Amino acid sequence: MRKPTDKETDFALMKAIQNGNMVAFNTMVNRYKDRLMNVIGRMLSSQEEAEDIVQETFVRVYQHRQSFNFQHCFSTWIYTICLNLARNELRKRKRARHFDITEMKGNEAELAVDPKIPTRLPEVLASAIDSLPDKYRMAFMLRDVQEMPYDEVAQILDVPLGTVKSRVNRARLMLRDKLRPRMEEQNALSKSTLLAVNLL
Amino acid sequence: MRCRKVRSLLSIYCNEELSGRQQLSVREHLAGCAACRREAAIYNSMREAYREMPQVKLSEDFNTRLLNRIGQERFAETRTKAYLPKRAPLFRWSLVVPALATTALVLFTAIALIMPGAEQQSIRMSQNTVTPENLYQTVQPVNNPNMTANLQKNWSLNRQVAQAERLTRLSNYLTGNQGFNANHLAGTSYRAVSGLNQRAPYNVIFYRVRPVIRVYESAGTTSVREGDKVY
Repeated sequence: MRKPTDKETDFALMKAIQNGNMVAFNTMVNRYKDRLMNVIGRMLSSQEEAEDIVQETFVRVYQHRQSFNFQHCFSTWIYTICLNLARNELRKRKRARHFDITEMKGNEAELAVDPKIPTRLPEVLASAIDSLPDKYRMAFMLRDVQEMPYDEVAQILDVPLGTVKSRVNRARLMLRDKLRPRMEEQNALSKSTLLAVNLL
Repeated sequence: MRCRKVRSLLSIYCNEELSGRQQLSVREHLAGCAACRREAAIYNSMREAYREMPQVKLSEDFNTRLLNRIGQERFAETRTKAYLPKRAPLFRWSLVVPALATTALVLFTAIALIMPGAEQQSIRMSQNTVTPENLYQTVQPVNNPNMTANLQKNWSLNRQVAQAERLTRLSNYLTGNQGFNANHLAGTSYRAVSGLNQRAPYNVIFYRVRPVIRVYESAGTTSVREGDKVY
């Protein structure tokens, strides 16, 4: 017997949720919570805020469960809700930036001291992703980290397919530029190590 | 394929998004170009690093907090459906029908009182506003054969009736039929009654109200014209 696809499983769960099945809702939460958190956690860079957004996403899914359109993917729907909430949060934050006391002048020296400087490549990459502009980061996270097809990303972000492709490519180039010095350093280090080993 | 072209395609190539022919060309170029291979190595390392990136973890009680919140939502839904009274509808037939019936009854009674005998006529008014004032032209006391002249045509019905009553009383006084005092000139008590065959009780005057028939459509067979008086 054929194994049901993710989409079919989502639809079956969604139908059960529409009929008031809370076990199905819990299963759905477990299927999506980590994926959503990985995207939103990188966008908001604050654990509590990201959790609140993910929680609010599931509450919205529950509230509007009857209006879900089975013509579309459930994943597209839930990511759209989640990213819209995150965008609103970012917009609010941008508006409040002028009043943020930590960004006032005079604190540079204090803030410049960062006890945790990432050393491993995945950690360096994660901090490089955090520094990308929002629109590139969203497209990159959905496509390369969540491994979604381009057309679904385009639907979620509500932009044309070509725009998504160009944003993803631009994000990759930015990351490459950020990582290049480190990669070259690592390569040089490994070469010198190899050389030393060879000499021995 | 040249290095510049290959490098523009490298990120797509390393993510396996290139079409078959281009992929082959890039692969061939990489086999012979160390600089481009180094560049490709950066992309490949990046791809591997995605998978090893530290995951952003949710707190352990996330599901509990979420389900509590959903429980509140469910409670709110249930309370809205079951416990809160329904909002009263803005339009209710059970209120409107008696109100309409009462209004219609009052209007009918008022018209029947103001327009005695009007139901006998078929009046088709298409241009003028229909009011009791412009449906009657003259008011003539029935029980006073001396008063045959028309009163003022532009007066209202009430005013004509009052005037006729005053004149009748003055006439009665002059002819010595009834007593007379200052109240008789005030003309405040009058009644227009449609039953012309009834016997007039003491101190009540009956008037024949003469309506104006306005004819706007004629089949050619009738001799009645607009403005004609019909008795």
